[in-house]
Amino acid sequence: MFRNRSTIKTIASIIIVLLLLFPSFGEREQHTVHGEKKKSLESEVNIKELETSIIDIINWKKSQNEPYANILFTNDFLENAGDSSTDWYVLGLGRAGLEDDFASYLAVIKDTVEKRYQTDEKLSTSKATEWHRISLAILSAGGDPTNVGTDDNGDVIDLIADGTYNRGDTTRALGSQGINGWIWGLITLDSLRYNVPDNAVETRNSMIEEILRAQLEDGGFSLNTHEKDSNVDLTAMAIQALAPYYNSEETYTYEQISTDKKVTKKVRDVVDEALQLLSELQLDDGDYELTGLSNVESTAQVTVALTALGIDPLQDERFIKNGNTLLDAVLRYQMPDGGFIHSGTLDEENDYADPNESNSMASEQVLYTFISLYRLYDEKRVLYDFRKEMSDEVVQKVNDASEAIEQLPDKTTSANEDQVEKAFQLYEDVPISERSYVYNYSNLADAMETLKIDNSSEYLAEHIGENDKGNGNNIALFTKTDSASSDEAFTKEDKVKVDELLAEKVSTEFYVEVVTFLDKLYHEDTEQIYKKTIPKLEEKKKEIEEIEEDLEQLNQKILDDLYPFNDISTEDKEVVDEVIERYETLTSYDQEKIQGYEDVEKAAIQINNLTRAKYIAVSIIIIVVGAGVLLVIRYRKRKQETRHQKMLDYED
Amino acid sequence: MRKDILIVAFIALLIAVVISGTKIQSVEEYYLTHIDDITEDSETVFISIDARAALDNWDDLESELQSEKYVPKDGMILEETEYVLRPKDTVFDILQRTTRHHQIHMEYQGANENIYNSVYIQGINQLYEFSAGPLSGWMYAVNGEFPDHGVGKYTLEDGDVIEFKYTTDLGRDVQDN
Repeated sequence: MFRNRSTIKTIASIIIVLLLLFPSFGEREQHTVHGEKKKSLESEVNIKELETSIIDIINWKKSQNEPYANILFTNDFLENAGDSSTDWYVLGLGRAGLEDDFASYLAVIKDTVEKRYQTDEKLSTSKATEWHRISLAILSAGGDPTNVGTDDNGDVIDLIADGTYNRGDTTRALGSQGINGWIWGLITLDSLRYNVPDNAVETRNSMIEEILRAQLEDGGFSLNTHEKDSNVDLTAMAIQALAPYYNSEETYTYEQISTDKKVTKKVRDVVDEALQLLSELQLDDGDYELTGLSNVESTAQVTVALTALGIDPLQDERFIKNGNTLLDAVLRYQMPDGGFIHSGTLDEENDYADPNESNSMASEQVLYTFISLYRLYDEKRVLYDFRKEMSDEVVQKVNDASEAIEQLPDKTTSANEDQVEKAFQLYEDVPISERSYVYNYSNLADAMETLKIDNSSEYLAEHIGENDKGNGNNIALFTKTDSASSDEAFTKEDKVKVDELLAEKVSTEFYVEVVTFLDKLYHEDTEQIYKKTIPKLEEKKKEIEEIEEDLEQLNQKILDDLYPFNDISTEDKEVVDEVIERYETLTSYDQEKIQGYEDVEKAAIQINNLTRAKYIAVSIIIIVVGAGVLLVIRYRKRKQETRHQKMLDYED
Repeated sequence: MRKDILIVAFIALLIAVVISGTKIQSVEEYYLTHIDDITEDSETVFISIDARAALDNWDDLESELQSEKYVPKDGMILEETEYVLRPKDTVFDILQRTTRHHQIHMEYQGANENIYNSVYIQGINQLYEFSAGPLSGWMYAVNGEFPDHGVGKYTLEDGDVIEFKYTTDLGRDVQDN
């Protein structure tokens, strides 16, 4: 799909020739954001092909829906809203700004979160990443994760507070699942550059430090801090989390867990070490492997990590091996149906992934990887930054600073002092919360250090907080219309569907539909005549919820009362009959949700048999008694007859 | 006289029937209610559920779980138990049957709910992944090997020995290698 390296080189040289001939040719490319100087026709072409690949993945995923629908977020798909199988696709479509039924996702996830918050463990006892994934998906759908319905006390559910800075408050600490919790917690906290309140359990710096502490001796990261070798995926994710602080001059002094040694480092030092390791670990074909197996996800995560730092993976020599780029490697996993496979060889460790069949996890990771790359070339915010795109004025400031830094000579001498100071001035003009987008800042920092110029730039961690709440912003990458705000009003066709729905037998099958229609009806724009439908639908929703509760009870009852099977006796008849009766009233869709129903049937047969056996035993006993009585009577009769006979004989 | 002998024989027969049991079943009924009975001809597998690693890492365990109720004194939630193997049974089928029959809590994520496209065991006897530190969770071995296949995809054979083991160190504490 994508041109190989040699054609890229050919085109690059053609461009250079064109630039020499027509100096104005490259003008458009001169005004690029983020100092991405080499922005060239290549990426113009790549961007088109990236778009095609992105659309192909989504179309493949849609083809997995049965029956096929124009949208991905069908009712069936949304039934798993809040699970990893669904949420990452919501992120993909949202960050590409593609159209889909985001309003329904938001309606269903709100309902799901509210329900899960009613349990003790809320979203999960120990996995903070549940909060993170769901928050990012809500932002991607254009929603606000700080305001997701209400809990039992009527308090607004704030997934950002509960899932990041206050995570250790009522639930277990962010790190209880390991470094994953810190990494995704920080990514989520920075997704809208949320402010951290003064009385919070964690601060940005405490979270950053937890990640830094977990760095291994080889420079990378792993789930296990006592492991010798780093894990590519986690190293890449750690870089993604630390990227917003790459330009910070703040130093951190901490005890590194793997070595027990006290070290003092900047985030930039740690990220550079991790990048160095990733560069070394890249294979000759541009790919990466995890526990010895080349796979698309590792390579995808490295690509996302580079885009988070504004590094173009197609240009940076550290990540090109024998002319093979990360993109070349990822595309080797592409299937004709548009999806991606996990690995080319059967993974003994993960045999869920067929080497010949597109795989959901592989495809979702490639999807957002391509989007992150597209956003880099299209000069948009990085993948996990959900703030509004920068204003033209801010873009100009970022560009000015980046260009001034680009102009600095490779080796600065005191002769360049003015130039360096001017560049620093321009950098300082960039708002603090946008400084991470001056991707080449580290060159400036190096020059200032060489020239012993005081670098007084503000520490980023304490200054990048911007928002307390708000919706995620997702502009359409490929078309001109914004799509994530696709809440539509309730229509005539919807009314017809709702009437059909109300006529249906109560079943959990229709829950998602009911929830999404209700959400539409609550919408302010909805016409008044339709509002009358609300109480009916609310009633339906309640009925379905009762069925849901019933299912749970029934499952529990079966589990509690019908095991162990050998102890089943006729005394259990009442329970079994009740279970069967309740089961019979369910729709077949709900009947499938009853676990171990075969055991109920088995128990019913057992009880029947036992009852029958009892009857048989009783009748036999009656017969035996009857026969015995008969025997006795006959015996007596005979005895009497004999006596009678004897008497007659005697008289004779 | 002869009639009496017949009646006595009849009574004796009926008493014999009552003593030997009056459960009379059709073939299907018999099959269904005896499907899990172990006979000489049955194919069987063995299953145990082992949380000994949690004993060794008691302090890492969530405080609510630091109880004999969740981690028995000897660490074994279920000693090796023999189960009848039905055709095409996977590790998950056996685990589900076992936990139901022994009324042991078990929670899993269905194949359609996760990215692995395979059933995923979240918790047994209230011990969940991460309940005893970031590297803890359930693993399983068949005949001493840790397959890492999804439990729902591992089809068993006669005589297989399944061990569910709670690890607190990504498997290193329960695996030999």
